[in-house]
Amino acid sequence: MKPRVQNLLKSGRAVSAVISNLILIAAVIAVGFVVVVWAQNQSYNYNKQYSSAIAIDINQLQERITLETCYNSTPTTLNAYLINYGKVNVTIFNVYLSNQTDLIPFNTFNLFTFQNQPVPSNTLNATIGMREGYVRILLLKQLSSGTYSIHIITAGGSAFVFTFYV
Amino acid sequence: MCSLSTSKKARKKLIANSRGFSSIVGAVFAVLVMISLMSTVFVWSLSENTSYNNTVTQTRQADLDRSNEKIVANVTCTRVDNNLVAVNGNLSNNGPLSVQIVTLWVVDYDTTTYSNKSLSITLQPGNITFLPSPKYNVPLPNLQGDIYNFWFITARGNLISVNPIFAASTASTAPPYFNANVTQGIGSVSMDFNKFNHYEFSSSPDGYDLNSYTVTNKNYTLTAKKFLVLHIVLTDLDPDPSQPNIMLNGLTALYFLGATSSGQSSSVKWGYWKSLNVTSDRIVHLGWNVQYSLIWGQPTDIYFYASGGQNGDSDWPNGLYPMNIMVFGTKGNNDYGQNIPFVSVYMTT
Repeated sequence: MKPRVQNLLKSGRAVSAVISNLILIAAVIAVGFVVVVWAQNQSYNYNKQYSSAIAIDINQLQERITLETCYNSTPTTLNAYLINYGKVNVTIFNVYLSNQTDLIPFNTFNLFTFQNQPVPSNTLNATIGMREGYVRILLLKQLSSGTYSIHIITAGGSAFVFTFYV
Repeated sequence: MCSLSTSKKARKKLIANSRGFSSIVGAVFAVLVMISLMSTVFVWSLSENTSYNNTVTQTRQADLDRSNEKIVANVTCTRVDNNLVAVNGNLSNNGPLSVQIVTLWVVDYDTTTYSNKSLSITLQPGNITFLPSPKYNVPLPNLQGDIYNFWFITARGNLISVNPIFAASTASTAPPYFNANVTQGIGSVSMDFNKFNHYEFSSSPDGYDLNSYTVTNKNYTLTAKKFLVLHIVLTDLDPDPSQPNIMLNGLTALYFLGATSSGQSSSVKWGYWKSLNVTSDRIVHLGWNVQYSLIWGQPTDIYFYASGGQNGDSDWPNGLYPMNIMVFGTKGNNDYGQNIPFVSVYMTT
C-alpha cells in the first residue's frame, strides 16, 4: 500500500486538474458570495424603502385635524383653532388661505397653544390634553366679508381644507 | 434486451462519473438562496401590508365612530355681567358610543368676541349631563343686548351645535338671575306669549286637522259663541335643570275671572277648560284629561278645549277679560301647581 501512495504522490500527472478544480470552486464560491451579498443588500434596501413608504402612508392615514373655529383677533390677524383628534402627532408644514377664486398671500403663520404659548416645530400633539392649538396667520391686509378656505398641509403629506366666514 | 443493458451501463457510468455533480449542487444552493431571499421579501411585504390594512381598518372605524356621535345640547347661554356669560342646560348622548366633550366655545356676535373653556365631560350612551351655573360660566366681554352663539367640541373632533329649539334662548339678553328670580318667585313654568293662539270652529272640531286651519293674526281675540281650541306653549325654566320633569295632569284649567268692557257692567264670568289630546300631526281628538310632560327647557305645545263644547256663556259682553291659566301636576314625587295670570283676551260676540 505504501509504495502505491508514494508513487501517487510522486506522480504529478493529475495535480493540475485538482488545482484547476480547486481554483474553479473557489471562484464559484467567491462569485456566489458576492451575488448573495448583493441580493441580500438589494432586498434589504427594498424592504427598507417599502417599510418607509408604508410607515409614511400609515402615518398619513392616521393624521386627523379639524377646525374648531376661525376668526380675526385683530383686523390683520387670523386665528384658526384646530384640534388633533387622530392617533399621531401632526406637524403643520404649510398653510394656504384662499377665497373662492384666488390664494390670499400673508406674512407668516405660527402655531400656539390655547394658552398662547408658541408650539415648537408647529406640531399638534396627539396626547390627550395637548391636542388643541391655533394657527395665527399675520395677514397683509384685512379680509373683506365673505367665504374663505384655509388649507393646512401637514409634514406627513395630508391636506386639510376648512371653510369659514368672515 | 440489448437496449436495457446499454441503459444500465449508461446509468452506472453517469453515477460513477462525478463531473457535473458540483453543478447540480451549486444549482440547488442557488435555488435555495433565491427561495430564501424571495420568501424573506414576501413575508416582509405581507407583514407591512397587514399593518397597513389594520391601520386602514382602524382609521375607518374611527371615522365611523366619529360620524356616530350624537349629542343633543339643550343648553342656553345668557349674560351674567359685562365680562361673563353663563352656559346652562343639559347634554344628552343619544348615540351608541361614549363621548368626551373637550371644549366649549362661545361667541358674542355683536362684538365678534370669542372665548373658550376646556371641559372634561364624558357622556356614556344614553346619559344626560347637567351644566349648572356658575360652573360653566365663560369669561367673555359683552354688552347688554348682545347675541351669543356657542358650540361644543368632542375628542373625536365633532362640533356640536346647540339644539335649534334653544336658538331663541341663546339670543336672549335676559341675564340668568332674571330667569332665576322669576321662576323662584312665580313658578318654573313659563308661557310664550308670542305663540298663544286659538282656533275657532262653528261645530265640534273632533278629528279636525289643525294644519289646514287658516291662521289669522287675531290670536288674542276670541268669539264667544264659537267652538274654541286654545293653544299655549309652556316651558319649564327651573333654575336647577337637574330637577325632575313636570307632569301636567289632565285637569289643567283655564278660567275667565271677570269682565270689564266699555259700556258694560263688570261681571264675573268663568269658563272651565280641559287640556286636549292633539297628536303630533295636530289632529284634534276630543279625548280629555291628557297628561303633558314638560321637559326642562323644552317648549311644549298644550291645547285646551271648552268643557261644554262652546266656551260657556254666549252672553259674554264684548270686552277685555283677564285670563288665568292654572296648571297642576307633579314634579317628581311632589305636587306642583302654578297659575299663569298675565293673559288678556278680547271677547267678541
